[in-house]
Amino acid sequence: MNRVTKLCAIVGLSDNDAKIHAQIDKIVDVLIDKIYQADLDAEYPIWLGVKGPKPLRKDISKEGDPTLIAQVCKHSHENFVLAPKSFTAKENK
Amino acid sequence: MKPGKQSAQSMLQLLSDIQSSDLNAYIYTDPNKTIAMLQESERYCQSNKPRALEGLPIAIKDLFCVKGTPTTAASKMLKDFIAPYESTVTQRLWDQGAIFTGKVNLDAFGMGSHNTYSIFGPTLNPISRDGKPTSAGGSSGGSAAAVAAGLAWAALGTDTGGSCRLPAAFTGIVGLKPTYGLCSRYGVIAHASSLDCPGVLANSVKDTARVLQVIAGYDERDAQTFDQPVPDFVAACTGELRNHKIAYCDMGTEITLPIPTHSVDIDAILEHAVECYMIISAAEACSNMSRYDGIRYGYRTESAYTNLKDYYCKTRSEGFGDETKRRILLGAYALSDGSKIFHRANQMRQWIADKMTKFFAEYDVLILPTATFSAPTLDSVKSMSCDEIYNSDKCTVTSSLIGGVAISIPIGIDDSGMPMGMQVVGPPFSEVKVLEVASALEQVIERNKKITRRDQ
Repeated sequence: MNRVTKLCAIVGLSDNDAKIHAQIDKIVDVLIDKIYQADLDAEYPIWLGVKGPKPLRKDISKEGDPTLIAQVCKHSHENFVLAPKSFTAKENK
Repeated sequence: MKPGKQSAQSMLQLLSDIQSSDLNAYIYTDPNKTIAMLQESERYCQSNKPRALEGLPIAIKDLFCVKGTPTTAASKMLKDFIAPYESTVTQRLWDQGAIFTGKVNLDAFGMGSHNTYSIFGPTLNPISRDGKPTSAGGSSGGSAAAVAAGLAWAALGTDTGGSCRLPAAFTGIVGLKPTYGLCSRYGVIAHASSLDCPGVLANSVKDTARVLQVIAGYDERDAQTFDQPVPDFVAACTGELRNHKIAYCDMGTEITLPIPTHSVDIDAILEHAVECYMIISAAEACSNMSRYDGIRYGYRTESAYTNLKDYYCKTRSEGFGDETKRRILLGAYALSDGSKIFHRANQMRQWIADKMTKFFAEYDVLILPTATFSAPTLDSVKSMSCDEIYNSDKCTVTSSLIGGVAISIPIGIDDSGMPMGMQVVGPPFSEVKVLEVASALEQVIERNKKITRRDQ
């Protein structure tokens, strides 16, 4: 099974359009090649979470919790508005 | 036009012009709704001071939910969808007296640069190249054509990677992408959630600021909006150039600006921006499009199907257009194999953001062309490869990736008589500074009026 056929199966699209097959193969190759050509450290850190005019940024990969998901949840909880302001902490519980 | 009581006669003339236009800018109008809103505005003016946008006719890109009207995203997938609620930004327009003129054309789900991927057919640029049907840009091509042809005072668009700015440049008007999170996305059909911004298209920087003033601000229904006071954007449009340090990159166009600037080379920063943008936006689009399965949302196949998988396949293949399919497949690829490609693109996005943060520590704003070419004919768009079309956004995607502000203003015409646009770009929340510079640049640029209108 080729690459585009596999992708079509994943996303629930018909696999019988030869034109799209050819285009996707080309687009994927061109874009992916270019993004890997960039002179960028493989460990370049991604900072998540921006709030307010002075961005509050944290490098989650360097925080204590060992699991990435736990770190992201903690970070989101601290930095994103998760509920309308009219909700009180009690109501949220 | 200025905010205030508008005459019924002028509104009827506008509705008549919209009906007789062959630009394919409008895809839905409701004259009864328009007249009712005008009457409501007249009643309001009898006993109150006019509101900020009193009586001003505004067209709405068909990605925004306007309660009780079709909201199709120009896709077969949503062709029968009637919005059951109002988007935050359109509600804010109506609350300030604006008049709904109708829904305008776009590339399906906002994916495209020339408005050619719409089930309603392409929007035509009111300014034609050599008298041939010409691209109005995309994805907010309907919004731009409506404003440029005088079929609306202003229009709402959305800008994910340049979708307000490119059409504005192609049609010779102003297009603004505000800071990501300044305007609510509630009620806007999602394309790429970390990039989508409601934007504004109008005939001048000040008119653009007037609309932005109304739609900006915190919304508890969009967790990405910022809870902070909205500055006075209109007051920033003085037309005077203050003591800003302005960087300018001509991107090889050899255009000279009539204001003092510092020439800079940012090729290294822009070099990989398009592929970074394409991978991230496609991955997010792939996720957002997964809801359209004909059960929870959207078009449902009328063909016979053998099982659930076959049903999904037929529904989605028939409902989505080619470009949407390409983005879904590209996004699925980027997210496969442990999302390594998506991760790499996000690292690239962070690298670009870090470089631009340093850049804006040195300069107040950056000016660069909105595109390195003017509007092509629709025939030449047909012969472009996908890669070439994606590169149409080369100059616009960087400010989208960093969540910053960018406004495209018309700077005149090129050798073939087509409008050219120049962007003023700033970091997040620099709207006041960007509008100040754009307003000043607008004042000093002599707009060449020798343009060939399609209807002349």
